[in-house]
Amino acid sequence: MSSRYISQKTYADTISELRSSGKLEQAIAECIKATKAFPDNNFFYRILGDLYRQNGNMESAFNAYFEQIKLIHGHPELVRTFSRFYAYLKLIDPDKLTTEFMPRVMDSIQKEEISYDIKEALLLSIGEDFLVDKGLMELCAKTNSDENLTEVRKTVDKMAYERNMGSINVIANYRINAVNRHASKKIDSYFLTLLEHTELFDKALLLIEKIMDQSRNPIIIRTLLRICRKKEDYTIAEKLLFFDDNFINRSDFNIQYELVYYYETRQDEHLLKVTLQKMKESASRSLPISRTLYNFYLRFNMFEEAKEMSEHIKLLSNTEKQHRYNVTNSRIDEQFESEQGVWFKLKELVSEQEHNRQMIALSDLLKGFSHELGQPITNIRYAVQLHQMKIQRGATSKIDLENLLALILRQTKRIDDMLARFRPIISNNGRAEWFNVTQRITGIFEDMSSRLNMHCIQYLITGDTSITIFADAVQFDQVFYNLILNSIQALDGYKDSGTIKVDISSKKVKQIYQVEISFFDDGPGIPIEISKQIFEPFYSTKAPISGSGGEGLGLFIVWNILKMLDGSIYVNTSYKKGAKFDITIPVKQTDGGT
Amino acid sequence: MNRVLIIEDELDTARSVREALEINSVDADIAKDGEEGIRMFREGEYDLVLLDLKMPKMDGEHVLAVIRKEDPFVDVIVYTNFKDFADIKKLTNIGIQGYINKGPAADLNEVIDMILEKLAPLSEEDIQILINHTPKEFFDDNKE
Repeated sequence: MSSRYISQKTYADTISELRSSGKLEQAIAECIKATKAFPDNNFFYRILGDLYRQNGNMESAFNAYFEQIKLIHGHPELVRTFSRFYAYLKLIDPDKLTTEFMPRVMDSIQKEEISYDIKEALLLSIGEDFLVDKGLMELCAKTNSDENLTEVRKTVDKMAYERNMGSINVIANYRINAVNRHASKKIDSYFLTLLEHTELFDKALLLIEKIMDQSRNPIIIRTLLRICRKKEDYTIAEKLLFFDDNFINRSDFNIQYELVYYYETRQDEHLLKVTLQKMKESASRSLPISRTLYNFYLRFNMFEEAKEMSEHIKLLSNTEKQHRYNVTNSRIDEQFESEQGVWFKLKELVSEQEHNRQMIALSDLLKGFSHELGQPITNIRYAVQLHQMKIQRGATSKIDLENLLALILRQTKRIDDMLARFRPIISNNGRAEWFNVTQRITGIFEDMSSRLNMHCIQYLITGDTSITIFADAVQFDQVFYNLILNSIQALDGYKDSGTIKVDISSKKVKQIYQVEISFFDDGPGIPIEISKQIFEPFYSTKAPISGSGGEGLGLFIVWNILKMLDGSIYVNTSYKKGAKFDITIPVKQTDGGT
Repeated sequence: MNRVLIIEDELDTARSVREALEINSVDADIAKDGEEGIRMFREGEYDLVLLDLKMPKMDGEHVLAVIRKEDPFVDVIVYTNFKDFADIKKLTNIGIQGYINKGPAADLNEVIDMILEKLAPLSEEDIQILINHTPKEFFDDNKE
């Protein structure tokens, strides 16, 4: 007994000496030794906490003080050290306190690692905080039974809404540590959704691990894979699941969907393709799934398959209504997530598709471009070959040669003009910015005012002038530059003066805000039969005159840019007083959010 | 003398072809779009039509359909940038005798040779052989 005392005193003296001579690291090392030698002596933990705090290591300080209060049973007055540290932490790092430290304390109280008298003392000393909230403790208890689902949901949803992460952590820990969860299956799956939603992925995975100890259903497996995907770490999934080849066959569509990502991460191209094939075989009669597959094909640059699938989708779309009816009537919950769920995934994919989509738009563009380059090239070759024919027959003149050279210069200029008009698309650097739609369009009209004045064309911009969007402003300009040019050309020769009107409004479609712009002129209008063709490359109703822009590129460029901006353009064929284009552009391009 | 109708919105292309045909003693007229092409086709008598498929106002396919309806026998050669076999096949079904590509492989000599071949499918020698093999009665009957 006395040797023990001496030994403790020796430690205490050594630590004190080191501390007073400023050798903090050594003091800490000595103190750790002391806590190991006397694990039930709260005193060394307190000193250790003080030392860490002095050294600026708050995390370790907390751990030490935390160990201390577990050991002070019967001496509630000793919580003072912890309470002071608590007040101090609340000043310097309140977030960490509420999200990390306090849930641990609450958890310990639940597990009765902290004795009742100490708990009461804690409640007294740091009373104004949630610790005093006995309601939270009661709520934890209620999570043990699905009968309380509605009430628990209501309260916890509110906490999530208020970002009360401290309380959520407390309840989550409680759920993770619950022993019997047979009566709380619904509550557990609710919490899982909540943890995923609030991005507490580590906690969600811990909960999944516990749930999977007792039951494994497709939904939980799917959730596990999905969370691992979001966390970009499949360690837990690999620990809990056995990814044999047969796993793909045994899985439903929703799991296969996640498997695609898993195999992508593992760079297992073979199994990735096997999974896609499996999805195609089992589920391609559903339109949303076909669309999902289509997007996967684009993602993995499987353009042949994508093309095939897009034709398949066209077919399916025709019977979509019928299909919906069928699904509603034969919905199987576990096997088949709601169509909406699939749509949600699709939306997720869409943002990832952004790059691929632009690549395809660009490839279409280049195809159209090289196609049209054929024209000036043909002209040059023919003219040169004609000249050769004449030379062979000895029938050339100086004028012939001059004509030939002029033609070559004219046609090469034409190629250059074509390139110039493509430049805004090709040199797209993806720099998006917020800008006011009305101001931007007004600016384009002003830039083109000399041309407009020359043709006596007035313009009028109406609608909501406050709308701003986040997009590539240079591309946006090109849309309206080309539309205005198109109208000038249409009006030219049709009548002596004209008016171009632009109307701007916004609308929320499928959770996405978009700006709707109507662009009209009072020119000859666009006949219904060509209203689709006009967006094709090099469709022009004007005879080609070099440099005039009549080469039919304008609307094709417009269409392509809008495709890149995630928007759309249609000819409004019901408008009879001229041409009317209906344009939509998302206020912000899809990035998974609203 | 043979006459060719060139329906082509690219005047530089059309003029080169016309001049090359003239060097080879074939008359040619130019129509600068589909509508004009059909009008000229109805007014004049042409042995062959050289038709561009991509044109303003009325596209080449439509022009071809009209021409075929009115004259199932006239030779039609189309210009196409289509590399797609399906498009060519579709046109062949409506009735074309040949197609020519524009672009880096465009060759005026080939175009002229193709036109001349269609216009005069038999060489002088071939014609003589054919006449020699035709029974005399055939000519006698015709005289009556």
